[in-house]
Parts: sequence; C-alpha cells; structure tokens
Amino acid sequence: MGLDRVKSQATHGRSAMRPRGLLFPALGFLVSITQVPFLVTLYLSVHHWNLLKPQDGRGFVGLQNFADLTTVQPNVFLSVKNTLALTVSTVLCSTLMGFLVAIWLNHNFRGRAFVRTIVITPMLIMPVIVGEIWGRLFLDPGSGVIPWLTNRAFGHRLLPMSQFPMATVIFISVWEWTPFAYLILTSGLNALDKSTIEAAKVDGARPRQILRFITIPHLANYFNITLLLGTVLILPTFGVIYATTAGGPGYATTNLSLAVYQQLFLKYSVGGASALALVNVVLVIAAMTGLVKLLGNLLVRNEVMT
Amino acid sequence: MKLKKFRGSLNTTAIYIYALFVISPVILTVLNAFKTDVDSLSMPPKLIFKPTLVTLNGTVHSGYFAGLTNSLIIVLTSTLLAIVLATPAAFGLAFFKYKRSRQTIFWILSTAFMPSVGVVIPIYLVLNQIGLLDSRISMILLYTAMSLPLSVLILRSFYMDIPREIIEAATVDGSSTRQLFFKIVGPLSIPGITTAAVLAIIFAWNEFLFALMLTSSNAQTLPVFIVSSVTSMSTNLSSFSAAALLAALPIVILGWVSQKALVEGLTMGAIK
Repeated sequence: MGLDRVKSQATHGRSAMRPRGLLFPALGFLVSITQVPFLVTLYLSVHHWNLLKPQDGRGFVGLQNFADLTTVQPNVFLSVKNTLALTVSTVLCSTLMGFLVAIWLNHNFRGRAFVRTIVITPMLIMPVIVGEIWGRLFLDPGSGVIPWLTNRAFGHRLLPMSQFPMATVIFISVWEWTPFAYLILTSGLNALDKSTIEAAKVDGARPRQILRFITIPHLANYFNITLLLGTVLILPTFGVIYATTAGGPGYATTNLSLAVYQQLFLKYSVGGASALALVNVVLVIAAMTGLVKLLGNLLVRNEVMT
Repeated sequence: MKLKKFRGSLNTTAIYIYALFVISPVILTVLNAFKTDVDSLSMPPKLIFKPTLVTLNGTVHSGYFAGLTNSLIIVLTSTLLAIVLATPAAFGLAFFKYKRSRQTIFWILSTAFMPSVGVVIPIYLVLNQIGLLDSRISMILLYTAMSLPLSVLILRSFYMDIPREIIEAATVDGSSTRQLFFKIVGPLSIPGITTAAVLAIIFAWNEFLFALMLTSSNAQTLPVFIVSSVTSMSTNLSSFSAAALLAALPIVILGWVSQKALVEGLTMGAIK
C-alpha cells in the first residue's frame, strides 16, 4: 500500500523522477558494454578472420571454427577437461578446508581477530601476484624453496610445476580460495542461534551430534552459496596459471581462458578465439543457472519479507 | 580441568602454526623486499639479514608510479561511476514496482558473472580500430561495467532494509521522488555505498585479463606492471618481491579493515 502511494507520487508529482529513468542509465550501460560485445562474439565465432592473414578475408564459415577447435593444439576437449578439473577440485577442496577452519576457529581464544585477519589474506592478493609468489619463491627450479628443501631432505629435487602441473595449480588456487569459503561459512556460524546449541547441550547432545544435526543443516544455504559462487568465480581463472605454468608443460594446465588468450595473441585467429570464448561462456552459464536461481530467490525473497 | 586447559592451549598453538603456514608465502615476500639481490638468492632463505630499502627504492623508481597512477585513476574513477549509475537503479528496484523487477534482478545477477573472455575479443577489435587500445578511458568504462551489476544488487539489498515507514512518512509530507532520493535515502545509503565500493575497488584493482589484453604502456595497471617487470628481471627475487609487496599492500589493507563488507558484498547482501 505504501509502495503504491510512493509510486503514484512518483509518476504524478511535478518534479518527480520517472522510475524507469532511474533504471535506464545503469541498464543501458550494461547492455552496451556486456551484451553487445557478447553478441558480436557470437557473430565472430561463425566467421573466418585471422589478423595475420587479411588476404583470406572475413567470410561466413558456419560452424567450421568450432570443428577446428577439435583439431588445433590444445584441442577444445583438453581445455574443457583442464577447466573442469581445476574448478571442481579447487571448489571442493577450498570449501572443505574453509569449513574445517571455520569450525576450528569458532571459539574464543587469544588473538582470534588477528588470526582471522591473517587467514583471509590470500584472497585479497591479486591472483597474478599469488602465482608469481608461489612460482618464483617456492617452485622455481633455481630459486624455489621446495626443490631445494626436497633435495636437502631426500636427495631428490621435487619440481612440482613440471612433475605435477595441474595439482600444483590446484594447490595454489585452494590456498587463494580457502579464505573465501572460510569467510562465508564463518558468517553462517555467526548467524547460528547460540541458545539452540545450549539447549541441545542441556539435553545431553555430544559435540559431534551438534555438528551433525544442528550446525551442518543450518549451514546448508551457506554451503550452496560457497559452492556456486566459488564455481563461477574460479571457472574463468587466468592470472594464477599465466604466472606459474603459462598453461604448460605442453598444454597440461591450459584452461579455456588461457586457450582464448593464446588463440588471439599467439595465433591471431579471431574466429577461433571467439568460438573458444563461447564454449567458456556456455560452461559458465551452465554453472551460473544454479547460482542465479539460489541468490536471485534469496534476494527477491528479502523483498517479499519487507 | 588442568588437562582441559592444557588441551585448549595446545589447540591455540596449533591454530597459530596453521596461520603462520598460510601466511608464510607473504612473509617470505615481505622479507625479500627488504633484502639486497644477493641476500634474496641465498638458499635456505635468510631469515636474519641486514634490512635495506635499496630494492624497494629501486622498484619505486622503475615504473611503479606509472602503474600505481594508472591503477588509482582507473580503479577509483570506475568505482565512482559504477556507484553513480548503480544508486538510482538500486533505489528504483528497491522502492518501485516494475513489470519485470524480478526478471531485471535475475538478469543483472547473470551479467555479474559473465566471464571476461566472452566479451574481450570484440572490445579488443573495436578499441584497436578506433585507436583507444591502451587508454585509461576504455579501461575505466570496462571496469565500470564490471563493477556495476554487483553494486546495483548490493545497494538494492541495503535499501530493502530501510524501514518503509520512513519512506511513507516522507511521501505523506509531500516529498517528490527526487527529494526522497537525495534527502532521505541518500544519507542512509552510506554503508551500502561503502560495501559496494570496497568490492568494486578490490575486483578492479586485482583484474588482470582485460588489463593484459588491452593495455601496454600508457594505461598499464599494476598487475600488468608486475608481469612485465618480472620478465625483464628474470632471476631477481628481491625486486619482484618489492614490486609485489607495493602492488598488493593497499588492497590487502583495505580488505583487512573491511572484512564484514567482504561477506555482504560477495553475496550481494543475501547474507548479512
């Protein structure tokens, strides 16, 4: 009712801003900078266009660019596989780690605020620096601590970036993303009603039972948000890989983002890069559907409640 | 009782060790930044050494300020623009009923997570064509678009928390929408704007893909500066560490002091 009054005031008042006028600048800007280029990407993906071969022209080639993706190096199946391996492992491991740390730190101890501040630091550092720090200070065959340490301890130089490239990239990503899961799950723990737990304790529930039957069910939505938001944020990973393995050795750690970059800046194939970019977008949209539904409903429900 | 206390302090010690383990790459970077080149290359890493400002000083004079200036101008201007565009939209979505409010919110949410590679190719081609590659203005517009969806949703959920009675009272008193917006909702939106701005600044400061593909020397931001200076000093650990420290520190501090905003912002106010 109040809303209706606000609305009529807005539409009939003399100096009133038109409500549509409120939305237009933001939506217009978003459409022109995100939607239009995306449609152009669609257009480019079915055209031949190589910046190095202008004499070839820019003809319509149908799905040829997509067909070519299965034969070029790295082929699209490998980049999709790498993208999924990196995303799924990172999301699962960092959510589990974040949960364990959140539970572990969820009591009063000396220096708690300080420790919390320390453990969220990795997510604040720019990913390309995260990659460079790990790559140069820890993994590099010449200057890295790990090859030196393993040689000292076992007489064998461990070179993670060439021996287990994907596991290494996943490890670094987990280091970077665990704080993200920790933060969201901690805010879930903070929202948990303490009196419920007290009551359960009075009824003789053991800590494990409290965790199993009260804490974890309470965190369900927080887990969903962590998993879904983590997925859409980690799928387009670029900086960490660029700074550590650069997609190698061979194409062992080339994910879709990196493959698009290589197609455009090493092969100058606009058509090929666009086709690859679309594959990436399709993956993200698939992952995003769940997230948009969950968050969208949470956001819209807030509206209904007020 | 004694045993319990002992286990408690053992647990706390374990927590400290874990925190130290998590932060050790950062500690090593900070230490390296205060070493000479020779000191930084010794194995095992020297933990006790004579600290020097020579390396940090060298970094500051090697193009860091150009990168810092670009980053500051691009990040702050785009954040400001995003907030200016987002505030009226969030205000509209929170206080008025549109035919497609729900769909609009869902659409904004989905643009928030569009991967940059899906749009960067045409943007690269167009900027190349019109000679705006490697310019601050194109980076500002791009980062504004990147921050806008999240800002709208964050601000909208802050507005949803403003008691409706305040709005109703103002309307009864005859305030126009414009007055409502500037006199009443505006001052109340400071915490929402802060949260949205913190998130926008962190994301834009750390953004790498657009910056790498679309800038080279004139508009080079700090992440690209790091990468390009790293390749030019292949084995020089201390210079790299100094550059990394100077580039990451402002945002790390911002994140430290605004931990609450991080959670609210990342989840667009769905979680408080």
